[in-house]
Amino acid sequence: MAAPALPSPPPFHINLCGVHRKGGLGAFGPVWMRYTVRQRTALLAAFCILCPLLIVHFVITYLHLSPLNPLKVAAYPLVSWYTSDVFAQNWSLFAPNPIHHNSTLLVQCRIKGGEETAWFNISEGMNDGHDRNPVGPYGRLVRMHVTATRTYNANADMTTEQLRETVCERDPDSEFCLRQDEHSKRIRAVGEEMLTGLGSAACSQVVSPGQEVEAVRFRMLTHTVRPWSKRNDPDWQPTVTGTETDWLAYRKVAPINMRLVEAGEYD
Amino acid sequence: MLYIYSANFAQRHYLFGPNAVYVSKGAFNPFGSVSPAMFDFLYVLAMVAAFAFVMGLGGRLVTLLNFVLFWGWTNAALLIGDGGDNVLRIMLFYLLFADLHGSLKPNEPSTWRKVLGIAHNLALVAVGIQLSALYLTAGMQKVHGDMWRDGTALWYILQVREFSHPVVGQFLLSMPAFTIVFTHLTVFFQIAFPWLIVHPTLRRYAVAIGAAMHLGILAAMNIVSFSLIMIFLDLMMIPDADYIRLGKRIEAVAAAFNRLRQGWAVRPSVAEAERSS
Repeated sequence: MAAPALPSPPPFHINLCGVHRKGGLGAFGPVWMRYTVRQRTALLAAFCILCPLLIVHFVITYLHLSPLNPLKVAAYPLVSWYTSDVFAQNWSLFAPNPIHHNSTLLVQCRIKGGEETAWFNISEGMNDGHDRNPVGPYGRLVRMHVTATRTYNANADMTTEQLRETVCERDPDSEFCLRQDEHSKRIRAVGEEMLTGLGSAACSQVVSPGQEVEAVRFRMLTHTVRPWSKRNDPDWQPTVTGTETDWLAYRKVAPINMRLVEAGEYD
Repeated sequence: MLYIYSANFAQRHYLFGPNAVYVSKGAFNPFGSVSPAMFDFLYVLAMVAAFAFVMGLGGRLVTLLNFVLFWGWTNAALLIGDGGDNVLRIMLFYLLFADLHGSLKPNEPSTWRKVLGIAHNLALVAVGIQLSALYLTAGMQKVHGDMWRDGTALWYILQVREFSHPVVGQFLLSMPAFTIVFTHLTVFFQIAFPWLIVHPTLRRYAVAIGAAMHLGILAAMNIVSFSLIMIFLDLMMIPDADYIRLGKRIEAVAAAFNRLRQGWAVRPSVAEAERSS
């Protein structure tokens, strides 16, 4: 039998906020009754499979992104498994408070035989390149020393740091608070590998031909930025603090031609 | 993606290869787990796939190849990655189910193509929800921060060298009052975005404000690829009909401008004719 010229009133009509309709959900409109039973079954089946998948996906995403709460704790194994790779996401984007210090990474190289070189500034050349050409590769290279330093200091994701703050208030000497727990140690090991890679590539560039680098060590410096309350104070000067790592074993890394500056007194 | 791959081409071995500064293990990282020669092949393949994707070539197969390679790249690029790469990887997954090449028409006769239509619409819904999740999370987390609340966040960010353009950023710093206004506007916009895009008319304004905000971030904070990615993703929220209408409006303005220009071109000759008569 031919399809009726005027369709019967639709059984239901779905318009998801006016998204681009291309016969998909739009198919549930007036033309629905013209479809064969096979077509209706296939479309309903597709809809009934895909929609719950979408909902489950975003419920897990919601739990992944939400602050620490009882529901998140209960579903933590599932959430952390599901969001461990493709769907891992972090939209802190300068929150809760933006980064408000400048950082410098200095490296010193120890050559086989025990000779130690001067300290070199790894970050300055990157920052300078970024200032001159933000569209080029320095736009990203400039982040390396910051990421490596943060990771070495075992700064974790926001949820973990939030939890750490709570734990530190109650038990400031706990392993978790002092970043000596297994998770922090793992992060620190990754940070150590990142730093070693950065330093090894830099030291390969520093030594003369024939010399072999044996170990590298770092100074991670933090410079305060001008506080809002001191914005008109001509005498304000940044405060520089820092930590020094132990000697870390040299590792062969693919080369890069980076501009190294011999570190000055206040670097 | 093509820009990201190209900008980092010269130092690809140092950043992403098997002998890179840091090679991530555990996650899917084809770039870091092959020989240097194979790495080069994969890197060039990723560039070719990105180019074909941009040109609309190769259909869904290229979309899939592009997603898989970019997913691998984001895992290889942990040291230099950002939120832009993160959101693009997730969006590319949703877009695997979308009809990016306009091959589906309303009321497709075949059942299979109707099912593809459902998948397409749900993929675009997923893009909208993901963007909303991004903005809402970013906004809500900022509310917890005292620097965002007291309006000084931008003042501090613009003093951090990695996030400040040496000219535009410093210029903004010379006007502290504006940094407070922009700090608060950012939080308001991010929290409002999910609710604004629900309404078809407000959605256009939300996208326009979002694009303007990210252009501002690009100029003042010197963050190029993240800003561009966010602008392109925001633009996906505008339906085809609006683009067609915008195109017609631009054509009309161009035609009016041409008429005006011809009018100017005619005018001297009219004056000459008057003089000679």
